Amino acid sequence: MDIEKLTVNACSEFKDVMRRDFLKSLGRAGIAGVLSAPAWMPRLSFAADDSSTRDLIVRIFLFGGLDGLAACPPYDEAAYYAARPTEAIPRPDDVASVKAIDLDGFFGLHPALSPLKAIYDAGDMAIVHATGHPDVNHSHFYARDIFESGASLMTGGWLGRHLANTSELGSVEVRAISAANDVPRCLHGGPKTVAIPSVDDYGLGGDAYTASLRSSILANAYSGILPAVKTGATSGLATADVMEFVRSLGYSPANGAMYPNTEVSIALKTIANIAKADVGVEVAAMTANGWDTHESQGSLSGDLYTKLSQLGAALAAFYTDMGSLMARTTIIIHSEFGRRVAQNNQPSNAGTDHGYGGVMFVIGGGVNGGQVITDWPGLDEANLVDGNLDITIDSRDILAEILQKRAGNSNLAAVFPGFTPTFRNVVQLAT
Amino acid sequence: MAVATIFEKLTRRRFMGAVGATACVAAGCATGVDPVDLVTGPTEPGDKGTGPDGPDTTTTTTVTPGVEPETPPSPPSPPAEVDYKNLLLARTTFGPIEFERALYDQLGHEGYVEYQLAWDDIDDSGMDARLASLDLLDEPPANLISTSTDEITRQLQTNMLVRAIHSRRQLYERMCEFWTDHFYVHAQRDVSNQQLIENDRDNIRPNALGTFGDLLHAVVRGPALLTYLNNGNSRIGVTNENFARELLELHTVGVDGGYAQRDVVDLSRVLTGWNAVLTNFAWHSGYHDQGAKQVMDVSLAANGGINDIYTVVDYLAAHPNTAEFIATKLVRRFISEDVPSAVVNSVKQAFIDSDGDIKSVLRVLFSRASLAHATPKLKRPFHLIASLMRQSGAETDAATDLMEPLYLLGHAPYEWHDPDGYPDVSTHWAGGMMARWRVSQEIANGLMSAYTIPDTTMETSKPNSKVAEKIAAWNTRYFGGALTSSEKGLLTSFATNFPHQRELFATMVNMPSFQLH
Repeated sequence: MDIEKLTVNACSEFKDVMRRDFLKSLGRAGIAGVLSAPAWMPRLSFAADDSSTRDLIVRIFLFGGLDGLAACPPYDEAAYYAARPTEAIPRPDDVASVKAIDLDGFFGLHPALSPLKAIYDAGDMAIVHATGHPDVNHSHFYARDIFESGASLMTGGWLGRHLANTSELGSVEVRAISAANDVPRCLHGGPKTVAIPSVDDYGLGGDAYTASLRSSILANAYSGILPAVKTGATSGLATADVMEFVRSLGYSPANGAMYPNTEVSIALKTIANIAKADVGVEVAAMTANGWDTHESQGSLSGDLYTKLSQLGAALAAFYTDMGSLMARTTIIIHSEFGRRVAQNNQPSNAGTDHGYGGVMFVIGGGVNGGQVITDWPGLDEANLVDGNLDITIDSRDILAEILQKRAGNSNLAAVFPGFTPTFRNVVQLAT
Repeated sequence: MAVATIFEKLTRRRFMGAVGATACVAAGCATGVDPVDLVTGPTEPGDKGTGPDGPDTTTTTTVTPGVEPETPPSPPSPPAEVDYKNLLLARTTFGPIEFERALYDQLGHEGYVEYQLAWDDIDDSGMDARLASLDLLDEPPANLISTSTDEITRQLQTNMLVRAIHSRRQLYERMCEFWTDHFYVHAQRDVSNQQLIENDRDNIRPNALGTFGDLLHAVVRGPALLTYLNNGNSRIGVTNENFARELLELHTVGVDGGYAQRDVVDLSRVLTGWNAVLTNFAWHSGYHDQGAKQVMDVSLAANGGINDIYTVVDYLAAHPNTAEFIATKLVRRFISEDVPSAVVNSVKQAFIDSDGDIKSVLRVLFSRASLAHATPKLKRPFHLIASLMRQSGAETDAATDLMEPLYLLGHAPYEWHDPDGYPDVSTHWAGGMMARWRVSQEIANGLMSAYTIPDTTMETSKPNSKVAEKIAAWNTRYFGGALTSSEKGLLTSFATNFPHQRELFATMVNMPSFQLH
């Protein structure tokens, strides 16, 4: 098959169909085992000889309101223990067996996050505390939308605008993925963005012999409809071919990484699988639910402990699996708000209500890790905002710095309109 | 077939398509893939004249209750006529079948709406046998305490889907789905799970087409919602704000509805003692905060007791911001994601004028004047699967596990994690197009055992009917004749190249005209 000859006078959309079939014909010819990335498919993010300086950005949103005072307890504050008779994490020097892991003499790490301590010690994880978006209120949905849109409820999301305002590096088919069956708000408005719940099942299915025609028919049928659906359809078809290529490479976790069988872990494994195939994905997003601990919070042995354990184990597996690729990966973990300083309800099933300032984790080879970055406002009554931890570092400061220094973004004003970030030196400039 | 041959055909068709589109634009006519065409399609003979009750244009004009929109003075091109029959049937069913089309022809637009609104007059006895295996649904919550929460969830999910597929009370079922999202309770596999059956059966279903006030009172008193939103133990001094906040934000006036944090705090005090014990609602007067309270415009004197709650729920049910919030959600669900303010205002006014009578609201929502503003909307996966089963005539009952595709597509009932219910915007669902296409493919090919598309559907009436006849028959059956000419062309090209009935069927249901409505 002479592709060049056939594509003379064809439009670019038509060429895409050709590429897809080129890949498929290789697969059908039984040489999938030696299938390598075609020349048109750039291997961007991790290529050693690439002039690009973009990291893979992995965004994990903990929806519900992560209790930052449990995840990263300020154990040297007496007010912390006064406000939380049962939901405080004991000091590292406490006699209790379940207690904080010391980070810097003032802050500790929740014991369920112990797998992250080695990453912190290696200088690859920073924690930002007393952070958040100052415009949030106590509504989950409003706060999430503010966080995810990155501006006052603008259309689209902050990562979508980031991608829309950074040039495409070569002819990439997929620039952003959601490791779920939907695309979260933060990615809305971005080009070439698609939901991939599973690498294995991504594709049209059905008879392989008719696949290319069915694919072409769908591309045609969806070319003139509701823009959001057209975008989803177009991205989906392009992605099916990329996933076929990803599958052809095979994947198993490296370096002895063990992914537990949890939702958050499976999503991170999917991201690692795609990232390692190096098909040009720049952003991966996922959401982990269930952090709204009004009742029976269980900081020391219950729900929150379990959630944090699952998160810590999944992150550790991903970090191990990615290995040297972490040098070009930045993970952002945040939540729409923190939780009330004082716990609520009776001691037997205490929880915490919606708060304000919270905590953010940043993990990656380019992170100025091994530190808690904060302008700590304190937990004394006079320093609280309606009973909540104040926000002294705008979360957009951190996000903007990462986009500029690690993701090649030179137009932050388009991502966060009307906001001038103050860089907090959370990451190094990628080189 | 050589790949190159397919390409040549495609190229030619694309080229022809492009020429056609250009010519059409120049002539000012709608093209085969114009978005409007997805909604309107070819107009049926009986629908040519929209009559005195409907506008004859899709152009956006101001709608005032009782006043029909006017035709713009000099339209730039002849406007496409609105196919009210297909539009109404698509928006009030989980995929219309011949039964509904015939009813519409017989009863007319308003008559059909009235028929569906009188839901308990519609004989739905055919559902009994199909649902017979769902043995938990008649049980009082107390009998379910030791029942598997997974089984409770499965039976509720199955009940919802089988009713969506087979019930003749289609608008009623769509409204039950709407309110299930609105007063959303996640099946968390804890005690609130055991209360979900009662919530669906005794709170939502009897009131789904009643008044919003009755519905609100029933659901707010239901142990499922208050347990889910952490009010089960809320009491004076250790008050939980969650239920109060969501009652304002998600269930009544909306996030911009005119309340502040102090209103949330005082409403949470109002709700102290409004508890649940195991699976039952419980009023604990001793736990109630008897102090004076102020919730928005409502001043509550000290010692109001349980009447504080009734007063505030009445106030919220009648609040104009509640009318606007509900109207906005209804318009987004049933008319257009652009939520045209003209339609929202008329629906809101109907809500206010009727004191929240849901039938009165729906009469305005489904009027021709409102439907004239309809824009294409991606079916949510539940709707997609229900319509696939319903319109293909698949025989299914509750005995099999029907939930697999809905889990794959992220829309299994009661599995959304958050109290706002499943999203209702195409943007959310459009990221999953590939998964939708694949599921259709697998169902068509019999790979999902619970879903069997009958051979008669595949073959139409004549086993070897010609391609054009088959596609024409499908066009009538699945689209009410509204399949676009572009889609017909694409299906014809597939059938011509590959006479594979089930793949053709999958390709047909993967067309935009089926995926959207």
